[in-house]
Amino acid sequence: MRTPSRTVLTLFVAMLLLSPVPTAAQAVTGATADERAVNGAKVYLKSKGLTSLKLNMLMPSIFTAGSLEEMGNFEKLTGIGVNYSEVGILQVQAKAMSEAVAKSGSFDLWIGDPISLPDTAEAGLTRGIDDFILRGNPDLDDIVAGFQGQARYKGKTYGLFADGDNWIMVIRKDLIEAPGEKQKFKAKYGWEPGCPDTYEQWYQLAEFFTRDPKGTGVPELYGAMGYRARSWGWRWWLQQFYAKGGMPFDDAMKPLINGKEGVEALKDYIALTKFMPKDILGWATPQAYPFFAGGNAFSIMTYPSIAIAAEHPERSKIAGKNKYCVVPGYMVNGKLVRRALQGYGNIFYVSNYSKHAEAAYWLSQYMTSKEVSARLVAGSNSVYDPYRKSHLTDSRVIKARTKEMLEVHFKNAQITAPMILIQGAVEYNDVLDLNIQEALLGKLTPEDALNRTAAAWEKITNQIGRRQQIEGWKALKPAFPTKNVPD
Amino acid sequence: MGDSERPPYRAGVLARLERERVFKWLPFVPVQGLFALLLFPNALLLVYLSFLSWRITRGTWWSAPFTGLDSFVDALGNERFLWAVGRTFGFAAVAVPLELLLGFGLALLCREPFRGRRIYTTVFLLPMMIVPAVVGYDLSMLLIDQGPFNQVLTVLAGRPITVRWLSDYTAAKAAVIGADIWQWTALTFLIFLSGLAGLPRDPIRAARVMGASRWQIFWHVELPLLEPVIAIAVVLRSMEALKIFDYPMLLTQGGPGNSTETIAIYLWRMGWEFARVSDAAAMSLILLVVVSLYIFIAIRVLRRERRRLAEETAR
Repeated sequence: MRTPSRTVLTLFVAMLLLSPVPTAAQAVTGATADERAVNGAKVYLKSKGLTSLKLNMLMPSIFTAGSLEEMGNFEKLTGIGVNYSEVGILQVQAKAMSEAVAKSGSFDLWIGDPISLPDTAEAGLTRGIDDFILRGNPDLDDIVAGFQGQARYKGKTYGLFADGDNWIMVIRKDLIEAPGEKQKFKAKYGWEPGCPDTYEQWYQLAEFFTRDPKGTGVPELYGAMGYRARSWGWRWWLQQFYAKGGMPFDDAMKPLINGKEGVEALKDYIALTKFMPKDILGWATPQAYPFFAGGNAFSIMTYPSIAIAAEHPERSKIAGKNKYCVVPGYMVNGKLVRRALQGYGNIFYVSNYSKHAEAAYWLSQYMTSKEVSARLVAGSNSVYDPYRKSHLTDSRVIKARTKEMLEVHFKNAQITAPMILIQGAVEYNDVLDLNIQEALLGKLTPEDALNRTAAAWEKITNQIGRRQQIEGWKALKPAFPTKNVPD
Repeated sequence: MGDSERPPYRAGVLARLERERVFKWLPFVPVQGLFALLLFPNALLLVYLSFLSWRITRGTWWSAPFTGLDSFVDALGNERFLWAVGRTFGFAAVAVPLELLLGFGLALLCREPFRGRRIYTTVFLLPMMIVPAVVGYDLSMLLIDQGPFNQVLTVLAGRPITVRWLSDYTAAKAAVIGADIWQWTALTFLIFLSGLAGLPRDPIRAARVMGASRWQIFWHVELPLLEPVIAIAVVLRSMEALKIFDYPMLLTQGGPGNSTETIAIYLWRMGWEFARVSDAAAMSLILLVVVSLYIFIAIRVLRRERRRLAEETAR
């Protein structure tokens, strides 16, 4: 029979044997994720015998203005500052891939989208951060379901999610409520104007509210806005395609985009464009936000940060005049299916070639913590969109975005679908984007555009390796929403 | 010759170096040596990579499978690449002659001294000194649908003008070509201004004495004398124009559709966005051959003209 003293001795020995494990991956102290990030950074500096440190960061320029203050705060608290190199948001992937080849360690961390993750991870640039997450506990359970998953690839976590970019729709409630408008609209279309349930209804709203009283061809008010520029437009089509019940590939990676759903979605996408500014093919956020906030359009489907521009007390002409809507959908087999695309979704990534990967991680955790992310999301220059459950109830975020917007945004999150996040994603999307634009310009029919895309996708899949792509696609499929409409 | 008659070794080396055919090449040795050192390994690597099937996402290049000429065959069957090549040559074919004409015209205006000549010369040279990316970014703001450029056109025309510079298939091409012309006319202006200043005075004076009109002097004396300078301007600008990247990238991202996708943009996408380095390498080499041929022909023309000119001057 085992005596109590022997049991105690065995336990003691076991504890001694196991003690290196918790020491190596020692959890960092602190009540909140930002505190733990600060403490972790201080411990790191001390362990390296440093008093200060400058990290090099690749920063999409659109994020600079909204990030500097908090990065400055982190430096004051820890001694770890940031030298940032700005780059156009669409050029991040190319910069990252060149670093994957050069392996120079020229930057320690960067903000990038989930599309680039499969390629940068396969290229060995993106560092897995599961070990740091274990130590820092960045409160991932507070992040809206599905978002943080976009920073995972092949079962590993590669970044901290920082930007809830599922789309939202905004319409002008002041224009709907203008005298006589509701009645005129209802008489024409048979339903009370408001948030559209379907793309057909959005088309009707756009048609009705496009105002060109002088008949110049340059309306005083445009009925709709979405992005149609090169490198952007495909995303808006993809959302419509998903709402049609479409999926890009079957289980053997055969493209499905050129079926009935894809063609119909593309026809609708093209049809709606006629209610948009004529120059929309060259516009992205820097042009679209001020245009909408200037009161020049009735509706827009875009990133949630539109609320910052549209509700800005000085810069917007339409503050308080907006209605935020759950994105429209399509009737599929008699049921309404709505889909919001996670149309960008920025992530803090750490470089495998960084000499200070841990410090880079602590900065990432600080920036994405509950407290700091709320400040970032609420910032007047911010393009960080709400992605934590706690943002819904944070007074600063509510003030900057409005309660209504936040509730709608989190409803949209329930029906949010990912982009095509598999290896070669940038190339798949580029071909899709090119052919969609050719169709939009009338150079190709919608059928031809999607058939060409499907053929090009087959080539890409074969070139990368079908078996590998099938695995990647299989891993992504659970990220698609199961609900047709939000609760 | 006995040992005593031989010049010392050191003196012999110096004597050899002083020979004209050796000495004239000496100054090039350090620069060309540096070029060889920096460029040769890269060029060789580029050639080697083009025979592999390497994606950045697929391990290291030295472990990539050898696929021979596959990447070249793929490139020559790649419609988008061929269109990009054709489009880029098309841009250069429009932009370069216009830059030459404008630069030449401005140089003629500024060749003789007049009040404010220095200011005009500086103003005409300024565009060249701006970073092309800045030009592209600024133009992307100026050329939007309801932007300042269309507003100026509206004032000039006296009716609303809305050219969709960034979103119309044809107008976008014009915008890209226009940006190139705006910036690089300054270079041709500089080349021609130097060329005009360096023209020999005697043939012009002789023509004047013989009663030739201003136009005859220009057409029959000055222009032929300027032919080598024109050829240099053509070669330099063509080489640059075929590398056009900044303006289409910043103005249109190569769009709308692929209407402004140049070779440089497509290669950049292929290599750094699509991670297909071997395919990009093969395409670069094909392009290198095409451009080299063009430059070779241009240089031959230049040499022939110089020879002809030398003979005429001798006569």
